[in-house]
Parts: sequence; C-alpha cells; structure tokens
Amino acid sequence: MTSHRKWLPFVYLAPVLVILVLFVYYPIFSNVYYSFFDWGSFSNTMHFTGLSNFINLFKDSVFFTALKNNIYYAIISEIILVGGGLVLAAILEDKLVRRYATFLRTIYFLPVLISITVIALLFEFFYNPQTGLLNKLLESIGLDGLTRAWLGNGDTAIFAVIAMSQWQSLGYVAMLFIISIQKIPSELYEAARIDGAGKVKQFFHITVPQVKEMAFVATIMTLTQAFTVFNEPYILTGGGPGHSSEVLTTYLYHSAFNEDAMGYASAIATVILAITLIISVVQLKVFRSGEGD
Amino acid sequence: MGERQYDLTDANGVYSNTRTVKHPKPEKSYGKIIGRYAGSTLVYVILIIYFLLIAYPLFWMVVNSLRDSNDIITNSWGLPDKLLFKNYATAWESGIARYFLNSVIVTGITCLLTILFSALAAYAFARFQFKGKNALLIFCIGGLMLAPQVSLIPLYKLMQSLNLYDTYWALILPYVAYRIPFILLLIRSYFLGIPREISESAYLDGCNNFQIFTKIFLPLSKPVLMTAAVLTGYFAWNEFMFAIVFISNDELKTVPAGLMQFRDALQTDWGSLLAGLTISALPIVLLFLFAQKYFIRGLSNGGLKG
Amino acid sequence: MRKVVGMIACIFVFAFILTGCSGFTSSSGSSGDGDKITLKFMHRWPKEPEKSYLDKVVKEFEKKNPNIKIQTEAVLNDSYKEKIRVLLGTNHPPDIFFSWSGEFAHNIVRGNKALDLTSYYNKDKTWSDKIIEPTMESYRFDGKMYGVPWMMDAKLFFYNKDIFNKLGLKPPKTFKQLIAVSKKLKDKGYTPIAFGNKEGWPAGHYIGTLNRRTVPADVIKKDHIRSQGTFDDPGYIKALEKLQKLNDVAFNKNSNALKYDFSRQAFTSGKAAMDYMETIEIGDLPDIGFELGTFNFPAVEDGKGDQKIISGAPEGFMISSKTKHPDAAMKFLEFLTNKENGKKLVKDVKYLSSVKNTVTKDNSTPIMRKAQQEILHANKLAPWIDTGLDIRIADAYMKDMQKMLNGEMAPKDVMKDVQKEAKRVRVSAK
Repeated sequence: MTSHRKWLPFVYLAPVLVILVLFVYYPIFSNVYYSFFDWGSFSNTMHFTGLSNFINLFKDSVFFTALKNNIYYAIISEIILVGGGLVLAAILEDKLVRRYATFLRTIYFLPVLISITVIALLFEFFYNPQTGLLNKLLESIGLDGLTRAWLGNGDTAIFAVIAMSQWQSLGYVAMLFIISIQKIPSELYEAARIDGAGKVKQFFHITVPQVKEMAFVATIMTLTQAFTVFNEPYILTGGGPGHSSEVLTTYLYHSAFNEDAMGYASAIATVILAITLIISVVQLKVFRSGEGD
Repeated sequence: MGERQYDLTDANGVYSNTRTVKHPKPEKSYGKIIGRYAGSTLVYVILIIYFLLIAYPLFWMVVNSLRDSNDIITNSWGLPDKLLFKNYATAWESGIARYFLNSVIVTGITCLLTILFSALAAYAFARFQFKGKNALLIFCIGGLMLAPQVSLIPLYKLMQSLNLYDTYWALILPYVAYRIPFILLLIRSYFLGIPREISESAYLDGCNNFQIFTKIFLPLSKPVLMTAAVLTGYFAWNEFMFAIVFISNDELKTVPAGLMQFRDALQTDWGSLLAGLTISALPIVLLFLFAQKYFIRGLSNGGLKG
Repeated sequence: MRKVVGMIACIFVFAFILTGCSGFTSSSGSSGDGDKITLKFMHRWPKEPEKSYLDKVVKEFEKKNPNIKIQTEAVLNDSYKEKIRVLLGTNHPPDIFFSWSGEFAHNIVRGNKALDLTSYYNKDKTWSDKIIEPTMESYRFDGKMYGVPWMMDAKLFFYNKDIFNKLGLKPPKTFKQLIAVSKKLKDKGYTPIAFGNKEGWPAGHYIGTLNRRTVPADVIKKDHIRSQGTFDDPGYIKALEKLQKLNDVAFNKNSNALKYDFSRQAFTSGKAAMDYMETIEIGDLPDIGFELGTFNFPAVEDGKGDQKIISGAPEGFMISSKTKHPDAAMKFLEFLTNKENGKKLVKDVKYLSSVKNTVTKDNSTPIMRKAQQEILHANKLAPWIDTGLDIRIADAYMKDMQKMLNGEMAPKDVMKDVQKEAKRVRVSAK
C-alpha cells in the first residue's frame, strides 16, 4: 500500500527512534568520548588526557586478571553450556525418557526463571566454608580433603562463581537445543536406524549437523554473556578476595563507584564494547557466508 | 518436589532392566543388548543426578525458609520440626512487599511501552515504503549488538542531568530502549505475515492507517504480543545492574536490587532471608507454569537473554 | 485480550494509589511547599536498634518543629560508602547525611559538597561546648568545621573472661603475650581470635592499628597527607608480618570467605575466645552466657610507633552544600546531639555519645564504661584505614591483604602495591 503522506511512517517510528538515540546510541558514543578524559562524579571538571586511560589500563594487572577471568568464563561456558546443553537436549528428546521429558525439562528450566540475585544469595549459603552444603556434602562422602573456602580463596573464587552461572543457564541452552531438535524430521532418524546406526552415531551424524545453526547462535550468545557478566561475581564475591575474581564489568563498577575514576571506568567499558562488537561482526560474517551456500 | 523424585527413581532403570531380561530381542547379540541397556541406565543416572542438582537447592531454599536460623546453621540438611510461617511475614514486612510493588510497576510499564513503541515501528516497517527504510531498520536493530553494560556510566550521567535519577523512569526508559530492537524484530516478522488483503479491505471500508493498526494488526498479533510481553517482563523483572546504580532510594528499589538491601537489614536471620528469596522467585516461576507456550515461542524466536 | 489489558490496568491503578505516584518524579533534596520544609536525611543504619532510635529522634523533632518534615533513608555500611559518593554527585543530594570522619569527610569537603558549619558552632556555644573536643577535631579541615560528631567508635579486643579464667590466662599487654595466649587457647581447642574478612576492611582495622604501633607517629602523619604519602617506612612491612603471624596462630581458617558478622557470632557462641571489635558492636551482642572483658590492642615490643593509640574515630553527620534549608538542617543536628539525646543514645543503642558526660552508671553497662575508660586512657584515636586514607591506597591495602592472608602474597609485595597507589595519589593531589 502506498501512502501519499511521506511523513506518516516516521510518526510511527518516532518514539522508537527518540528512545534509541537517547538511551542506546548517545550513551555508547559518549562513553567512548568520556574514556579520553580524567573525571569523577565528585569533581565538576573533566581533563582531557588522550589515551592515558587506555595506556594505564594496559599496564594494570587487575585489568588482565579481569580479562583472564572473562576468558575462563567463556571457555567453561562454551564447553558446559553449549556442549553439555546439546547432549542434555538430545537425551531429553530421546524416546527412552519421553515419559518424563516434560517434567524434567520444566525442572531443569526452573533456575533460568529465578532472578540471579536470588540464586547468588542462595549459593552464598552453599559456599559458606563452615555451614555451607557444599563442604558438608564433600565431608559426608569422605572427600574432606576437597573442602575449602570456595569464595574466599583466590584460586577457586572465580570458578565457584562460574559454576553457579552454569547451574543457572544449562537448562536454558538445553531448551534452545530441544526446540531445534524438535524441528528435525523424524524420517532422518528412522532411516539411520534402519541402516543400523546406534544412538551415539545418530547424535553425531544427524542431530549435530541439523542443529548447527542453533549451536552457532548459542555459542555467540554464551560468548557475549561471558564478556559482559556482572551480577554473579558482583553479588557472590564483589571481585575478591583481592581482585582475584574480578571481571571486566565488576572492575568497571569498582573504578566508577568505589574509586570515582569515571574516565578509567569508561575506558574499561570501551574495551568491553570493542570485544562485543568483534563478536557481533564475526556473527554477521558467518551468517552472511551461511546464506551464500 | 521431593515426592515426585521418588516416583521417578522407582520407575526408571530398575523397571527397564527387568524388562530386558524377560524379552531379549532375538536378532541382536547379547553383548550389544547389555551395552545398550548399560547405556540407558547411565542416561538415567545422569538425568537423576542432574535433577537432584537442580531441584535440591531449590527444595532446600523453600524448606529452610520455614526454619529457625539456628536450626539451619546446626543442621543444614534437616527438615523443619514445625513450619515457621512467620519468616514469610518478617520478610514481607522487611521490605519485600515494597520491592515487589516497585518491580510490578517497573515491569508493567516497561512491557507496555516496549510493546507499544515496537509495534508502532514494526507497523511502519511492515506497511510502508519509504526512503531510507533499510538504513532505519538496521539502526533500530543495531542495538542488539550493543551491551547495556557499556553504557552504564553515560546513562548514569544522563539520568542525573535529565533529573530522572532515583525515579522509576531511570529504569523503565533504559529497559525499554534495550528491549526494543529485539521486540521490534519479533513483531515486524509477524506483521509481515499478515495478508495484505485483510488490511486493504479494511482500508476500503473506511479505516484509516491508524485504525488498521489498532483494529486489524494488534488483535491479529495477540500471540506474538504475549510472547513479547513475557520476554520483556522476564528481562525487566530480573535486571540487576541498572537497578542498583540508577535507584538509590530504598522505597523505589526493585526486587533484585532490594534483595541486597534486604540481606543487609536481616543480617543473620537466615530463615526470613530465605523466605524473602522464595517470595521473590515465585512470580516468574508461576508465570512460566501458566504461560509456558509463550516462553517457548519466545525462546525459539531468539531467546530471553541478551 | 481485553480482559488481560483490564487486569493490567487494574494492577496499575492499584499500584499508583499505593505509591501515590511518588516514584515517577525526582523528589528533590529539599522542597518547601508553603511553609512546610522537607529535609532528606540519610544514614547508614537500616538495622535495629539504631534505626528505631533515629526514627524516634526524628519524630520528636518533627513534633517540636511542625513546619519541618524529615524524610529518612538508610543504607548499610558497605553500600553506604558507594551510595553517598554517588548521591553527592547528583543535583539532589540528601540535606543531612552520615559521614565518617577523617579522609572520608575531607574528600567530601574537597569536592565542595559539604556546608561550612563554623558559624553555627560559634553562634550556639551552649550546644557546641558540650561536644567532646577531640571528636570535633576529625571534622575540622583548614580550620573550619564541616560536620557534627555524633558518637565515638573505637576498636578494642573483647575477650571471654570465663575461658580466660578457666585456663588461667591474663589479658595480654604485648604482642608476644598475645601470641602466647593464642597458642594456649588453640591447644585447648578454642579459636583464639574470631576473624571474618570477606569485606576486606576488617583486615584494614588490624593493619591500621598495627601500623600505628610499628611506624613512628610523624611518618604516619606525613603519609596521611595525600600529596606526601610514600609508605616506604620499614615499619609498614613489619606490621603486615605481625598480621601474618596472627593469621597463622590466632585466626580461624578461611577468614576471607567469612563475613565480618561471623566473628561476632563465633565469639558470642563461645567458640572463639577473643574478638577485635568495634565499641558500636556492644549493642549488637545478644545475651551472652559469659563475662565480657576488654583490652587495648597489645603493644608491639620493638615497634617504633605509639603503643597506646586506639583505632577509632568519631562518626557524625554533615550538611549538603546544596541544601536550601541550612538552618533547619542544623537545627536538627543540634537537637540530635543535645545532652538528652546523647544519653538516650548510650542507653538505647549502646553507643558512646560524642556529648560530654553522657556515659553514666544509670544508662550504661560495665563493659561500656570500661571501653570508654580505655579510650580516654589512650587519649588518641587513629582513623580507620578505609575511611582515613585515600580510597585508592586503602583499596590496594585491603585487596592485597586478602591475598596475603591466603598465602598468595608477601608483605613486601603488598607494600609495593600500596606505594604505587600512593604515588598515583601524590600525583593527582598536586
């Protein structure tokens, strides 16, 4: 349908455009701008310092600890969430467990529905070295040697945090794969069965190739989340002990609101922006090439 | 939860194993059969362990929300001797009620505005031809690539200069902004599927453009709008980072941010703290149980997160 | 569809009625509709008994001054430090707000966020003369008064007299004795000193005091000046070594995973024999089944510093430089710190008031009077490390000490980081 009033579509678009400009695009650009200044919310002046925030950042060992923790986050999440999620989905979609699949799916999905604050405060109980369930469980099965102060130890804190994230998100990624698996024509499996292919073989030769696209989406999503994660480490450890469980966003928060180094925090945010944009570009590239063939 | 878990244990591996012995399938070798059933037993074991891993902590939260703090510390695995419902009263009065109300307000308005604005824009993209349409579409969904975390500091500054800091709007507006790209995409693809003939006949009947939107497009899109509401609601109810930075007034805090305050205020009253956690977890869980199909549809359209 | 919309609409109408729409407009720090003045008052006690006490004072004040309304907001300790900095940066800071003394307050003053109260102190002598002089010192910068001290907080060792008597132990006077006592307690199965350091600042309290013992007073004084701090005195490393020693011999395990509250729990439950506690925690102690004793942090034998000084500081309130009603705000603070309310503070909250002669036999427990004696005896309070030093230096200290207590870092490396931050602070202070 054609409209004789050229401006009409823009009336419909106006609210969205205004909101996006004001609250998405303007902040992103001004963040990059701010990262070239030394400023705080206390002082009213901004000093232009060129690249010095970035230079300091790349000399800052805490920044690299944070980056390293984000990378740990990414690697572990890719293995457990994408790998584990796919396997779990395949199992739940198998005929063998069909009777319980709906029930189990619902239970496995529950943590996704619960606010991360609730989960983190709950896990704080479990990780408590004296009264927490985790240590008590280990003791009761004779693994006393493994008990430790999970959140109080620089070597384990970040992994305890990552473990909680996996606990929460596995059901979510599995659900994505389940939806994808349900779209696979059942004839494919029947044909394979007639050819004598076992379950494992079916999984690798039919399920995996058929859910390739979803796997890619899940991989990208997990990766983005691994580099922007904030809630879990902030609530569980606050980046401690020391800075051992700091991630980029908690370090950003810390610099901005504890040290009032707003310019420095903006520089960290700019690094996060760069990382997430690279991931998005890769995503677009792959999608394009996927359309090609 | 606990009871049903026993049903499962009784009904699984043991049952199928006995069946194996009774009816060995003749055309296969015994080795293969044993291998296969060992495999299925392993699958059940994994499923049950994972089930316990998920269900027990949640079960523990609910059970201990009815216990006395001292009992929780001295006997973490125990069950309540008597149910302390007063924990819930304490939690409710220590601020949860207020946070709850704030979350309802923020989530509700966020949903309304996100869907309204996105639907309007989607309508423009689906129904009109105009110059720069593709560029504008890319502009609108480009926000998908941008992480909200990056804009924390500029938004914080912006909220102060717009005098929105410490108001509901400080949460609602960024939430709407960061949800629009995705919801817009979702609604647009649905709108594109609405046959032209329907709107054209309405046009001939004397409906103007806006009436076609309200009388034809919106009612026809009910399922996708519900999905959009569920997805937006899920996001707004659980958002944490903006909620702790843009609101400082305890009276206006939403549940995720308020819980941090709540923990500080209750300190060692663990029973009530757990009661508060349980109350906070409930709404979305219930929403899921009653509106599961919208969740699933949302998931298959790209997801709740990110 | 219509039903759903209707339902949502109902919820909203309901919600708006309940909230009175208050959350949709920015409530300015202070507003005066007609002759009614509203003051925003922010403190750090969302918990009892402080909350009730302050609420009661506010109510009485409002009754006496019907034209003033006070809107209270409370945020606990750790969040408060972040929150107040953020709020003071906004256009609508609270009119009256809690502030630690020392560098924390100085930082606010340097940012021009606090009102100069000197003229009020001079004008109303009957009120200001009753404030204990040393507590005022911590809010005086460049000769001007920027705050009203409300109470004194100091860090002392509290010990379980029953355990000490049973084992024939005496409160230690020197660090060596403290170690010896701890070893004996440990042999008998007690935790010598309960310690939770998840927040980081609890270790800061130890090192704050230890530094005072091992580093000469004039060096400390110089290092506390932002433009001059170097932190290269060997005494600093020694102080950290002493803390390490305590960690090996006296503290419970896993201190970095346990919150500060834990130490009080372990102490009051009788599992731990000693706890390095703030005097403001006296009010938080439940009914305990043993006799309580207290002693000052022991002297470090070969330390070059002050062997008597106590870590602690007055705490009080400041008025925002942006307030529209300075007189009303000051009126409230003067009311809060009159003798009557000071006495009630001692009685109801068990805080040591900053008003003279308020701790008496009628309104306090023996342990409070003993604590006050210790403070008066030491004669000097040393500000907390996390509010007394520049936040960057304090932060390096606290973060690194957590690592040190985990055995992941050596004292000299902690000091290297502290010196690095001190250098940054020196540069930015110029």
